[in-house]
Amino acid sequence: MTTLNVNVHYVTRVEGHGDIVVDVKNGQIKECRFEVVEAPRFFEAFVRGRPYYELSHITSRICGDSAITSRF
Amino acid sequence: MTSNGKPKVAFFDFACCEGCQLTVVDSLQTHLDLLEAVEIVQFREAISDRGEDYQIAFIEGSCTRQADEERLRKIRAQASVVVALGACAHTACVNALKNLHPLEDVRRWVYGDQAEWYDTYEARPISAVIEVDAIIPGCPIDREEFIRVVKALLLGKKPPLPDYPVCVECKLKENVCMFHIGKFCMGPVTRAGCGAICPTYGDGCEGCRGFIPAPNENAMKDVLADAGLTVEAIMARFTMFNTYLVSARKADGEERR
Repeated sequence: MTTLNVNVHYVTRVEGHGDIVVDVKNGQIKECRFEVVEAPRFFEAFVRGRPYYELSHITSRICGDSAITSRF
Repeated sequence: MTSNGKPKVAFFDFACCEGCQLTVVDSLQTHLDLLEAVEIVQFREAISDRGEDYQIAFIEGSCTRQADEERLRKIRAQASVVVALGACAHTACVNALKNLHPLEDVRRWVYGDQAEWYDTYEARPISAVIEVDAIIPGCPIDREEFIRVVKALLLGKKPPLPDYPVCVECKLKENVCMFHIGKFCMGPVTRAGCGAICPTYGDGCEGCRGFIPAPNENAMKDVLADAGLTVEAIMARFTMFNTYLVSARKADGEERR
């Protein structure tokens, strides 16, 4: 039976830090996790009390790889 | 240095959107010769390698938690040259907007009952924690400026950083002043180097590159007020990208008083 231990300490070639943990014992998945380990930025707090015309300019900074979709 | 004499370069990120690193990848596509001059040993957004032996470190992102400080110091201890890559590392960028609210509220608004799972403190530029040798301002960085800075570093020179405002570059582009067409612009107090890209495409400068040395804040506020902005709207223009700098200048002014 398969026993597998995968521990990817951060995935590369993507925006953001994420780890993958997979633990398989005797063909059974015991654990399967994607961990987001990067610093939270709190965008919902950034936009509190800001003028409406700033919002798309601020939210487009959520992700540099997908700035246009983050904007919406 | 590697045995072939090429300096080893690493890229790191903290709280940021990684758009500046994307701009780096983009710049390198048109400047393949630069890739011949260095060896990139770590760059999570672009490669899988994870070399810990490097001389030049480019750091994107703000320091937003205690754990970041330790990682920053480790990078500083290894690298002979540390470059702040982009506004998040240079001025804390929009990350510092959360500094305007009590941090307890900030965490609760976003994560509710699980607020305590998410460690954070006031966002700050990396220069608040470690010494920085060079800066590439902007949100995102200007790709041509990135190339200029890298070339200067490879020649052992201090990279040029304009100390004049965006207005200078805007005039050279022969743009009509934003204030003359009913728009608002932070160009008079913002550090140049972007080629006045926003006014050139018809939008007022938002100040993403931080302030020029000794900006005349009061004169800028008067200009914005004359153009019709309320006090709140003027402060919003100042704080959108530069909350950290505005707070630091205020604290500095109070200390001198």
